[in-house]
Amino acid sequence: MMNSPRMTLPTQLVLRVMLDDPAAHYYGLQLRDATGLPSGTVYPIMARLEQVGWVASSWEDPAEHVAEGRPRRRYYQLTTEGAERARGALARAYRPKKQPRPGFGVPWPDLPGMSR
Amino acid sequence: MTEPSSVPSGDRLLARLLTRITSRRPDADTQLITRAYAAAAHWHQGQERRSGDAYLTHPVEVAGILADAGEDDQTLCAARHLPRAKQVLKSRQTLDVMVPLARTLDMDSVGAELESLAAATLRRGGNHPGGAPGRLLAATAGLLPPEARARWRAEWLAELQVLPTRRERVRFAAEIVLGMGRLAVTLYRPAAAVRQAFGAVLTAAVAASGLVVGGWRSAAAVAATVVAVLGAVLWILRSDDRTRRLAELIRAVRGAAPDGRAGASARPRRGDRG
Repeated sequence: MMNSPRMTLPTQLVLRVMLDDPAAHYYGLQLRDATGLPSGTVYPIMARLEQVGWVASSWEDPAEHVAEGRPRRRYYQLTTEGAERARGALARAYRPKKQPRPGFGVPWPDLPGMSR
Repeated sequence: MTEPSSVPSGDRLLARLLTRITSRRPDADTQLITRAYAAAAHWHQGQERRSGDAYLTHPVEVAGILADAGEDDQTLCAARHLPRAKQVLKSRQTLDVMVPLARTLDMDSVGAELESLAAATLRRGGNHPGGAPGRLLAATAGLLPPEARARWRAEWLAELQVLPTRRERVRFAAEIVLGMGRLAVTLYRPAAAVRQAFGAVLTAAVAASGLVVGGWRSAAAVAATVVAVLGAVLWILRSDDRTRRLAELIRAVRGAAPDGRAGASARPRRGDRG
C-alpha cells in the first residue's frame, strides 16, 4: 500500500535533504535546521512520509544517547523503496504544470498565422 | 524617515482613522497614532493587498476595530452594564447547542482527554521536565490519536531539552502547537480527521464557554487548545485543496448525523457508546 504524499514544497525540501545521504538517520531538530522549516511543518511531513512507507522511524539505541549524555532521539531513515520513489517524485515535481494538450477532445487553439 | 508618499489617499486614511478614534475617545494621543501611522506607511510602502488596495489599509482597519473594541471595553468596565445573568445565559445557550453537536461528532473522547490533561497539567505545576513549553506540548498533544500521543510527546520533549535557550524552546513549542492540527489530521484517517478537526473547534468552544460558567480553572490549557485548533483551521483554509476538504467536512458531519450514511462507513463506530 504505497501511496504518495502530496509533493508540497516543504515535502520536497525535506526529501531533498534526506536524499543527500539516503542511508543516514535524521532526527526532527536536524531536519528542521537543515530545511529551515518550522518544526510544526517538519513533524507532520515526517508522519505522512512514515504513513506512506517512504520513511521508517525508530528510537535511538540507548547505549548511544547515554554515552553522549543527551535525551533519546527519534530517528528517521528513508526506506529503500521510499528513496527510489522520492527521487522519482522530485524529478516529476520539477516538470512544468500539465496543461490540457490538444487532441482527444481538446481542440487546437486558433493561433494567428496557423494553417490547418 | 521618508514620508509615506507612495501610499495614495494616505492622508485621507489617517484622517479617517483619527476621526474614528477621537470620536470615541477625545483624549486619545493623536500624535502617537500619527507617528505609528507614518511608521507603518514606511514599512508597508508599495505593498498591495489582493484587492489592489494599499496594504496599509489593513493595519489601519485593524487599528480602527481595536479602537472601537477598546472603547467598548472601557464602557463595559465602567458601567458593568452586562449583567452576570446574561453572561451565564449566553454560555448556557452555547453549551446547549455545542455539547450535543460535539457528541454527535464523537468528540467526547478528545474532550475528556483534554480536560484530564489540563487538570493533570495544572496540578503538576512547574515540575514538567520541559518547563512551560513542555507542558504546552504535552497538553496539546491531546489532539493527536491516543495511540500516537506518547511517542510524539517523548520525541518533542527530547528535542526540547537539547535546545540551549529558553527563547528557542518556546519557539520550538509554539511552532509545533501551531502545526498540531496538521499532524492530527495526518495521523487520523482522512474522513475521521476532518471530523476530528472540526470537532476540536467545537470542543474548544465548549471549553471556552465552560470557562465563563466555571471560572478560570483550566484557562491555560484551553488557550493552548484554542491555538492548536486555530492552527488546524488555518491549515484547512490555507490549503489549495480547500474544496475537497470542505466536501469531506460536510460528508463527515452528515455521516455522523443519525440519518446520514455517507461518512458512516469511513470509520468503525464505537459500539460502547450509548
